[in-house]
Amino acid sequence: MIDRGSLAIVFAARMRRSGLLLAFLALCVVLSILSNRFLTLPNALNILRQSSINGIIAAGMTLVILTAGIDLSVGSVLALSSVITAQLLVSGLPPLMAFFSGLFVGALLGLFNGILVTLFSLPPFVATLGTMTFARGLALSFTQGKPITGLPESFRVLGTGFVGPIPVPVIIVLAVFLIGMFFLNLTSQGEQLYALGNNPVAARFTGILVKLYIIVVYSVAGVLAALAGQILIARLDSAQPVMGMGYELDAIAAVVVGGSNFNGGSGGLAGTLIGVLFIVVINNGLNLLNIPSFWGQVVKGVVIAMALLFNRVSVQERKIDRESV
Amino acid sequence: MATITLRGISKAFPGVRALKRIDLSFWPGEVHAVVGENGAGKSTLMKILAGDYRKDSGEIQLFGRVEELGSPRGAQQMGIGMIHQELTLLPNRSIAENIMLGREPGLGLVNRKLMIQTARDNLKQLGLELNPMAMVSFLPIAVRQLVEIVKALSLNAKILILDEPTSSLTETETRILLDMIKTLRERDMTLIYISHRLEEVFEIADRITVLRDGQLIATKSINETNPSEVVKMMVGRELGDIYNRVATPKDEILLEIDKLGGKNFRDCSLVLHRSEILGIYGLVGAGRTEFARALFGLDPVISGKVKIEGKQIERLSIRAAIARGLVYVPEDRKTQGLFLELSVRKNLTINMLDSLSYWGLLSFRRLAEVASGLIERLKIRPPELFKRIRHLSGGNQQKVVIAKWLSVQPKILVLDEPTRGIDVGSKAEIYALIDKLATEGVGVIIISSELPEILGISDRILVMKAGEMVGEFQREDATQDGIMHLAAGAES
Repeated sequence: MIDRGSLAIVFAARMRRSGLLLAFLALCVVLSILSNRFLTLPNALNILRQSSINGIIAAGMTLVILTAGIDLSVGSVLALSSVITAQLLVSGLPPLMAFFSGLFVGALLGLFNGILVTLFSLPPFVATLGTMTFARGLALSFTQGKPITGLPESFRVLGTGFVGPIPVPVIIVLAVFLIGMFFLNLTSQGEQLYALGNNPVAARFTGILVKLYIIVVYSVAGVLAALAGQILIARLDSAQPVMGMGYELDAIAAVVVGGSNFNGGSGGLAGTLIGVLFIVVINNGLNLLNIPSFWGQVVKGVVIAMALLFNRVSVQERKIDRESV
Repeated sequence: MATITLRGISKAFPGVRALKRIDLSFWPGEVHAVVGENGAGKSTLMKILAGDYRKDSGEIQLFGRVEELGSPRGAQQMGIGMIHQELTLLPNRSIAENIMLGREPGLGLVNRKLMIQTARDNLKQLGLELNPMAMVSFLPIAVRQLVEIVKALSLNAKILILDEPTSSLTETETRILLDMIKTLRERDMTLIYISHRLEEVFEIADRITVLRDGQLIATKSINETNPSEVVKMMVGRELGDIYNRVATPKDEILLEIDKLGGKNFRDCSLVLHRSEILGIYGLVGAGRTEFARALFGLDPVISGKVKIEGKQIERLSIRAAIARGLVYVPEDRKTQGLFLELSVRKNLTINMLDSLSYWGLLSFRRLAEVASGLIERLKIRPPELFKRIRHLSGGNQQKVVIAKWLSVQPKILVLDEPTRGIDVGSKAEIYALIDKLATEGVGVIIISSELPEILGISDRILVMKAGEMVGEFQREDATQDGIMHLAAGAES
């Protein structure tokens, strides 16, 4: 059944998918030639640690974008859940309970997004824009605009701790991606999620509970945003109501650079992980090369655009007539 | 003089010779039908004529001069207009804005008054009394098609290519379109008409060209040929009786519907036996699809009872229906049935992911085995698991939509327009499959607006009209006239 021609096509599809990986590796090679500090263990761990917050948020965003949705509220969800956790911590609640309360807040806000999108059929852009404003407002009024500081040491491990040489946030982000990839690629629910992202009507006609899946996906995105927030405040020892502004755009950039399609149903977490690292490595390289951060922004924008061109997410997708699985 | 003469047109795609040295002329004042199975090369040829594709070799003469069309715009400027299967009007703009798109009168600011007047004149020339300010999204598909034609004519088209123009029209709408085509023929236009519906072709065409596997088989005057000869040329072999029925209905009742009512249908009752093929005929808008959708739990039911194998279903839902073995293959495979960007394997196995998971993990080996089995059983071509569904022909896509339900071993199969827009060869295969399933004990309900199909395949036929079941025929005493009389007849 497999002839030489079809092998070539499958190989071409794989190459396209790994095109991003090649670009990323090329960037690393260039940077390690330009700076002898790039390819060192401390710098590598540094890059991973810097990737952790955006990585965790982008993992949730990937799921949302797979359903052809978008979640603009993640930055505000992060802020609201963080200030609530911080307040609970300073008022003496055990760290573990405060932590889970924060995640619960994230889940609730995500659930709210999911319900707006499914049961009330609001466009995801609008629904999550509403939640974004609403959650930010709550965070500001809850704290009167002031930061909450002085978190217990036992909680701060989440952001500053190490297991051997590896920072805790790095372990968490890798765990999130591993679990997510396992779910998306190896379980029936994962395959159904791709199907409903590709064609929600056909998914409904085959008996898939489309609305339930979408509600769960937004809830998971909320929980992950909250998780990222917990790590952030543990690292900073302070929760501020204005945290996380613009984080939704970083996450969306990483997902899109990672090759997921806004139309839903294609892409995945492996791409997102590379997308996240890609952006951090650019920043890191610019720092190492002492390029002023204003220019850094410009370079970052250009590189993102080039990565997208290289990947040509939607155009190429339709020309390749095979899937690899 | 011929309007278009094609000499030795060839076109290849990677791995496929799509067209092989086509020689063909089109004359003014003729309706020229181009027919062939899916993949025969009709679309490729038309896309070359419309400037969408470039030919690899050969020459195109327009009014005696050799021309390069270059692009769709180039073809348009040389007087070739194309009405696509999928309409290209902007839905949220008015008729006038659509007709005049890109050529709005006025400098800087659009002179709306002049634009509307010009559009109205254009419409009038074809005898259409439409309000040019009407929004396109509110127009029925048939009217949109007429607007597309008006738009093409206002661009001075001398040649009009119509690609499956009637595939989504009701019978009345089809009549209106065919009349329009006759009017245009009288104005000495060249009309190239692509269709699967041979009845229409024989009604309207002056000449007919048959393509098969990228080759021109024959061009004949319509008087010199007949539908069965054309079908034979299209498939390249004798097709025999495409409705070869073997299954015979048993006495056992599988499905009993008592006075079901919902949106656009009411008091619909029926009984379906084991191994029976029950046809439901009705004109578009008779409520057939609404009835089937409600039965499958897609839309709410207002009244009535449904019993499957003697057990009443308390609350109709998609999952309840599937659990009891009732499955529904929707009428529009692309938007309702398929995951176009996903592979054949994923489309075929979407209903059995849970049963082929072990400890929460999918068994990809078992999934591939099941999918390969279905590909072999239904002769899905090409037999490749990982090909994206988008790249299969309509007939093979339809086989996949049906096949994906076979994996759950349905007892009752409801098929809504199962052969719409697919070629004769695939049709025959699908009829054979339906009969095979019936011999295995499945009860089948076929909803169709094609009378020959309903008459050919059904053991029993129910006629629906204005949301109600208005008559029943046994296979032996069903006639085209009798059914049509009930389905379309005047209110008594």
